[in-house]
Amino acid sequence: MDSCRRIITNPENSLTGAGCFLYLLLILAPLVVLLLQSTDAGWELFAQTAFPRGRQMGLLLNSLCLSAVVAIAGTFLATTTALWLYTRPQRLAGMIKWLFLLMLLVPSYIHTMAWGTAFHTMNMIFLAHNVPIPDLGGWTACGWVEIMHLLPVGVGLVLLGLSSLDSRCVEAGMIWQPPCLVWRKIVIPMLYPVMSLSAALLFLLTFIDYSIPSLFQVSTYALEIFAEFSYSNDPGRVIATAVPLLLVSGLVLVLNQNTIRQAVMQPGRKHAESSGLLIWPRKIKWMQGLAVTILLLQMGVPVAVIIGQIGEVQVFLASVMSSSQEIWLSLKVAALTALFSIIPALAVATRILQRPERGSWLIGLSTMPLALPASLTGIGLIALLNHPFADVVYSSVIMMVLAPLIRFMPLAVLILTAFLARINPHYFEAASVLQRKPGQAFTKVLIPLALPGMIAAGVLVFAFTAGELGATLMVAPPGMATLTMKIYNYLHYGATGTVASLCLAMLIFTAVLILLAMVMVNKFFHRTISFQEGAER
Amino acid sequence: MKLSMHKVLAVLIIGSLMVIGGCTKEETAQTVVVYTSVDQVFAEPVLKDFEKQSGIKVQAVYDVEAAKTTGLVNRLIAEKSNPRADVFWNGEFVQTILLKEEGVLTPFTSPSLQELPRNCQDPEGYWAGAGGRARVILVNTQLLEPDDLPDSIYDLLDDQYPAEKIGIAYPLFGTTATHAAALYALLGPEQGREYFANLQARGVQVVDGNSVVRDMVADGRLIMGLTDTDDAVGALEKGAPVQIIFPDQDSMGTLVIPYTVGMVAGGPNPEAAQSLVDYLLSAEVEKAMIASGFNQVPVRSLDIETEYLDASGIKRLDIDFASIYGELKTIQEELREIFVR
Repeated sequence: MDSCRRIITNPENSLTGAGCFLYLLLILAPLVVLLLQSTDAGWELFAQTAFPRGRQMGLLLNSLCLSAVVAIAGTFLATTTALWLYTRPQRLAGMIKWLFLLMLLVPSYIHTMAWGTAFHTMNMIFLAHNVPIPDLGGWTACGWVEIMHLLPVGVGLVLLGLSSLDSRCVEAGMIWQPPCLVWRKIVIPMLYPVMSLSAALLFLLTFIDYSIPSLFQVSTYALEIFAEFSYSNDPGRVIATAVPLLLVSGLVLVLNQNTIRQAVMQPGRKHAESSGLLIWPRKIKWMQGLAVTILLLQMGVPVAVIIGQIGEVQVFLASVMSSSQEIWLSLKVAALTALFSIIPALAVATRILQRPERGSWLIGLSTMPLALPASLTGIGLIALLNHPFADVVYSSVIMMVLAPLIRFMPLAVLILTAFLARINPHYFEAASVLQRKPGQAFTKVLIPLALPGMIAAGVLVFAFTAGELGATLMVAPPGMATLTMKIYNYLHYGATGTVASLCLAMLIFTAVLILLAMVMVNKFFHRTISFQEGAER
Repeated sequence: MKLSMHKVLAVLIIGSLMVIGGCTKEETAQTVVVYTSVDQVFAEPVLKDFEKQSGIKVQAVYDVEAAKTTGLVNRLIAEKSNPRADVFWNGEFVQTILLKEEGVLTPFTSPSLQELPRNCQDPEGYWAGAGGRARVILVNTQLLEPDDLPDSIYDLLDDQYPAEKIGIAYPLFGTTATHAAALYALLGPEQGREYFANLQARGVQVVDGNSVVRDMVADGRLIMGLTDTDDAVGALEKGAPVQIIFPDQDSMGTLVIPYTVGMVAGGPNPEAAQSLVDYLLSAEVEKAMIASGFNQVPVRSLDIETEYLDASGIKRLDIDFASIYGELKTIQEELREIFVR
């Protein structure tokens, strides 16, 4: 991190400063404009609405409980799954890992549809055989589906942490102690920061979600925000209603700031050495079976339901052909959002590492959009750009890029911060000495070495953008619609075959793009590893 | 050729600009922009027919039920100072009246208004409606005997039917909110509140939307539920073992909700907007909407047969739409207290 600071000489400081300014402008400008335009009732009403009481407090507690359960159980399952993947042969693990992360693209309603059907069937079977079990619906189903939907996020983060595992500690531990003690006293403590980060992220993403809980008739605070919007049509009141959400999200980030900073700023290690040393203790070998089961369920159940709903190849082909415009637009919007998220996110990540003592507040501020309801982001953009001088932007695809950009750039910040911290600082030191012009070390050393992280961040933003609905619906220019908008329309109509076909199409097209990204990451990563190994010999 | 970082970056930037440039609005001879909450499956063919007949290009923005009425209505209000839409085509009427109150709409005239009943038109000329969907009880015929079929919305409170096997959509959004407001307007706020409080106290299932009610009744997870005729007919079309019941035919009648059309004040294409409004309110479109399955109850005399449902001669809830709108805020506030907890 000191090297990162040294390499950023004055011209680069201006660049990263400008990038940070652009980032904060993008995420804060719509919100500020909304606040300025909000209700005439003033701050008294704002204060009244912002602090929940009675029924609203009950809803907030519902959300907190659900999010806590998902965070804890989800992190446990994610850690188990990630450890199992980590201890597989690298090539096999690599393929499964990317296939698994691809499941991020499966929309939440597909998980809901799949697991709703599965639970209903199980309930009927148990009832038919007079097996006394609690009804698998409501809170249980809601929590499970949230975990299944967000599991790839947790697994990805823990895998990132495993890449930082110090093989020398593991090796030394394995010589003197049995595997279970090594896991308890070395591996898990070293993984604790990423597990904490995973729990925090799973908590936040569950906390702001209303779609899955509402489909299982579970009332959460996020639904209250929509009810308020529908009731008052007043963005000011909606922001006020969202304040508890923002406060809780901020509190989660503040309470976890040390562990988050440790998680994202751990230096990288070589994968091959640690993975071979990790032996599963006999007492917890059953967890390997759990990991495989979870992987199979998480991938298999939604895919099986999708294929089952499609039925015939003709249905798939007809659906895809009739939606070619939406598919192409969705891929374009997702790709552009991923591309444009990288530079500002990289600037913020660089600043976080430049000034670790200020990193916490910058992490908190830069991740605030994660807590805002999606449609509010859209309303904010309308308030900001629905003016004659911004016509060119307002009636173009740029609006459809800006909305998910604001929502998902924070994810890119977290990923990039983690990757930048893993780069060997010696290269920066050498480059800063040897560069002929200011900025060369930044463009010729830092950027290429950060490229795997930039691609990983881009892939994550791409995946989330592809499934985004709430904000896009507010800003999509007339005549333009994403695949997600079409899918939700057909879902309401009941055309499950068409919906399943379009979901499968989205998975296939995105899988191809992610495969290309995987090839690039592996190519650059191995080149980086070889280069590092060569330099260190 | 060795690719430098600068060249890669330049290619990406130029490529992005070309992609963005290709996605900007094209200038055409005549265009009309319509925001519609009518399901895309039903609305799109109608709008394409209009394009063919008139030569005016239609640019549509479709709403989604998942946005729970926070979508297009709030977008129209947010865009009021610089309107982008010309026409608002709504699947019901309450949000249209809301937009009139918010100053988003402008009055208009149309030849079709002479054919439409008075209660399907705004007295001040800001909106008009045609076609109708009825609020019905959908029952699963494999789980209920013919003699046990309900015939009133009050049967949802009857202990004869297990509460956990009855479903309604959240009465805070969409046509279920409209239905709740209608009951408040007809019965009075106290009786209206009591009805829904009793539903909640019984433990009736409150689900995410009318289509969810439909699906749950169709696959037997519910024995019956309140939904709209378009959703109910959809289940019949798929061969589900269901039956549609028009409730309260011997008493207050069944609520019929027309689709409504309004012209956006200050819209960019007023002439094209007038053409589209005339078209959407025409008998031709009302017939098409009934034939496609979105509507089932004509508001004017039409020579049309429907395959799955004969709604001719049903007794309709006799109530002024403005008074239903007047109860909207009340029901949203009170029912939020009852159902969102």
